[in-house]
Amino acid sequence: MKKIKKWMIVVAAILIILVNIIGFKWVEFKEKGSIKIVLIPKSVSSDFEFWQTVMQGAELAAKEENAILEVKGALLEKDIETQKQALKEAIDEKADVIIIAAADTKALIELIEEAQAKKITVLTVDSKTEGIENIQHVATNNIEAARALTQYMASAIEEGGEVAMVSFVEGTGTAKEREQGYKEEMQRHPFLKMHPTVYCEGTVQGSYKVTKELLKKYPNLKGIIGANQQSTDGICDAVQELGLTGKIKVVGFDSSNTIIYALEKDVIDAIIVQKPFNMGYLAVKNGLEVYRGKKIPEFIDTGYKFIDKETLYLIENQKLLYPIIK
Amino acid sequence: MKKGLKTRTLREKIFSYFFTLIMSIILILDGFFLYKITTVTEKNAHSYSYEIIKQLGRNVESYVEYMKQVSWVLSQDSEIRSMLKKEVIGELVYEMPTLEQFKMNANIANDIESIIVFGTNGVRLVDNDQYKIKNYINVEEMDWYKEAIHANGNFVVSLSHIQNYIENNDTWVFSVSRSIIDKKTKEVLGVMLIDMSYKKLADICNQITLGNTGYVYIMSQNKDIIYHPQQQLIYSGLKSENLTSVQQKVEGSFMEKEDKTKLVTVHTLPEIGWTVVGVSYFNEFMLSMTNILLTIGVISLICVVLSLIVAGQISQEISKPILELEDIMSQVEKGDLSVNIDIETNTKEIQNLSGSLHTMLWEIRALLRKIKENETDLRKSELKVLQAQINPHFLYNALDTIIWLGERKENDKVVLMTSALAKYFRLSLSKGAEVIPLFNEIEHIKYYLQIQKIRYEEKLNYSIRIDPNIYEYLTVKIILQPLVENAIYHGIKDKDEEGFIFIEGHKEGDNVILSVQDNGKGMTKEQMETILTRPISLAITKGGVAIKNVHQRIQVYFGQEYGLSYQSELGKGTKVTVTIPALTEWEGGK
Repeated sequence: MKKIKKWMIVVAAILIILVNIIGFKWVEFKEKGSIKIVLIPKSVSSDFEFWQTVMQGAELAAKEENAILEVKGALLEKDIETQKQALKEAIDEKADVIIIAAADTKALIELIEEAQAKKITVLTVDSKTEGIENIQHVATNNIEAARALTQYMASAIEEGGEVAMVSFVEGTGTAKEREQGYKEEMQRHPFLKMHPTVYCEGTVQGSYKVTKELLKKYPNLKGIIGANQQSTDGICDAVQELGLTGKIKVVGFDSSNTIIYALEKDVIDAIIVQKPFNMGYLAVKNGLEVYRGKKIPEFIDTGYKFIDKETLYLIENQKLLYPIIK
Repeated sequence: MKKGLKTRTLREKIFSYFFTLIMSIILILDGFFLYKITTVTEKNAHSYSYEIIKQLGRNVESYVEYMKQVSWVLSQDSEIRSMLKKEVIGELVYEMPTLEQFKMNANIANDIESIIVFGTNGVRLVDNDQYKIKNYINVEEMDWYKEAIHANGNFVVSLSHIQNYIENNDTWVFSVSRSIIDKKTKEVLGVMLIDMSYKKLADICNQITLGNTGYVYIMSQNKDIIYHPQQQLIYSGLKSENLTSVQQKVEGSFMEKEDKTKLVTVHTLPEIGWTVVGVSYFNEFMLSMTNILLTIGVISLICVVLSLIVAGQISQEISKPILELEDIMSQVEKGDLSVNIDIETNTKEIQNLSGSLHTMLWEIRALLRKIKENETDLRKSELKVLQAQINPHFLYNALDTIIWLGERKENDKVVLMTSALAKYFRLSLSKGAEVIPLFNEIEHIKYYLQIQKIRYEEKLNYSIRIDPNIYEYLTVKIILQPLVENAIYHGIKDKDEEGFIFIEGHKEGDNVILSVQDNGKGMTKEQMETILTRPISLAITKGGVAIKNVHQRIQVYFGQEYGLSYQSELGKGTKVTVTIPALTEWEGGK
């Protein structure tokens, strides 16, 4: 009889242990649901539709995955110090996944390596860093997009001539890549003369200024390519003001009201729009995959869309041009 | 016992049976609940989301329906019609107070972005002049315009789009358009366009919660998506909706298996031609189920623990008295018959069993006592027989008689007496055998009577009549001598007249009947009744071998149905009859 009592105690003990294990697993499961993701875009300004759309995509993915998303960063794209600060905070907060759009290819290397040492999954979105191994990059294939845009411009300038690029911040990954793609494609068109790239420091005003200077310096310029939204905005303003509509082929990256108006008015011929929503969405999705230990390719292409006057108001293009419902 | 079966204690068996029983009940119940909860949850999920989607559909419908009425009233407005019939050169934008009034009145929820009438004559009627209509685009190319013309005065709802005919505007709208037709000439005067806030529609759809990650989208008749919260993903091909099966379903809900099981609920609004579709993830409905499952699991575990305790208790309760019985039996087995069977139980069977055991033990004890008694009795009687064999009293008397005869010089009688005595003793000893042929027994009694005849002379007369056929049968030795002795001492000795003893023997059926009859003083009834039952010790003190001893020995050797029987009459004499079986062989000679 004593034997059986002992046996019962053993069974009861096993049951209690089982209950505890199940309970802990449950709690673990619940906690696993709340993976913390920090997104650090180049700008958190609500005026910056591109980054707002990236955030929307990221938010949707986080909601689907039942993860917590926190966005932090600088208001201005070139504010590298604030971005560093944000990254430092994210590391201190013990985020599980950090998704960062590097404002500079080199400035963040140390911090990112620190995060990786602390077993934090780090991904770059839109703009990448240089010299860090084992980091996934979610972005538009900028080289390919720049080549496509350049090719369109080249074929529009049938008679040949001089061409220049207005870029934004020197040293940023995207600027480098777009310039690379542009230059690669230009080599395939010997009848086009390539002038040195100018930089607008990421503002419309700056671009307007440098474009005007450019047009003054090279009066025979036949084509201008804008490397991002601000650059293209400024180009459109300058070209329109100088009454050069139709005389100069303008192509550029990204869209804005100015650019769309310019498209309607034939100031600009074509634009390439990126898919910021996809960028945010895919960055979070892939970030979680990496976090869960899955192998994914180093580069995730989020795609781009080529838009001209004809395709401007196709419904799917409208969605890209006006990503935020107002 | 069967091979391969392990011996188990009763307690273990009862315990395991009960435990198995309770466990299987728990498992069956759990399974049943699981099944039930799953089906009920699934059913609820279906009806719940259908109700929500229907409610949403009603909201959207009433919202659009109202606009339909507004557009109809406006299209009938004579002021507007007259404006559209004016002849103008180029384009004329005109702000109409009627439109503004209507917009003000209808716009309770602030969801009308603009009301514009595009006249075929170039007149543009607007609700206010805050916005500028782009003069460089052709509205006749636009879908909402073409559809309105095609619908011929009927109401048309467009897909969502940007208000691209207004300068610097990036507001998302969906349009309600209607062509205005001249009643007489049937000529198209223009198209009225009411732009409704798309954000409001999106908000209505987003307000709906279908679990954590469920969502609602709206599809047009032509399988175009009017609203989808993940429209970007759909255009990029990152996500797709099975619009065909939605369109086929028309109404109700179905399950769609992808990497997660989706519950797709469809509700069609026939007035507008839209289909409201709710998509929810089934596992989220099951989330509340997981809670229930956890509860069931915990309760089951408690039940298991309880069943362990109860099974333990029951098995102990049942097996305890049996174990006690087992203890008692093992004590009995060791030879302790005096154990006390005192088991506290209210189980009838156990009570019966212990009662029977108690009776059995009691009887065994009684039997043992009896066997012991018999043994001592037998030993004593054997001792008596031994005594009888060399009865000193008898020997003394016989020798006395011989001396007396010698003194009287009666040499013949001395010789006869001595020879008879010698033969008598030899027969008494009978070489140690207890069972002897009847012939020897008769010889033995003859010598005895010869001796006694010499002593008592005329006072003792006797006659022996034995059927020679019975000589061969066997008998216990020295049974007649005590009877004859008794007859002499108690029947004849004190009598004045001559005594007579008659010994007879014959076969009767399977038995041999011997009788000793005297004509002595006889016995009272009491004497007769007690002669065979009174304690043997009394007989010993009186000397001689008791009659009872003869009776007992016959019964011990041949069985209860044999022995002595008495007939007596006071003053007339006594007759003792000996009944023994007619046996010629004796086994197991003691």
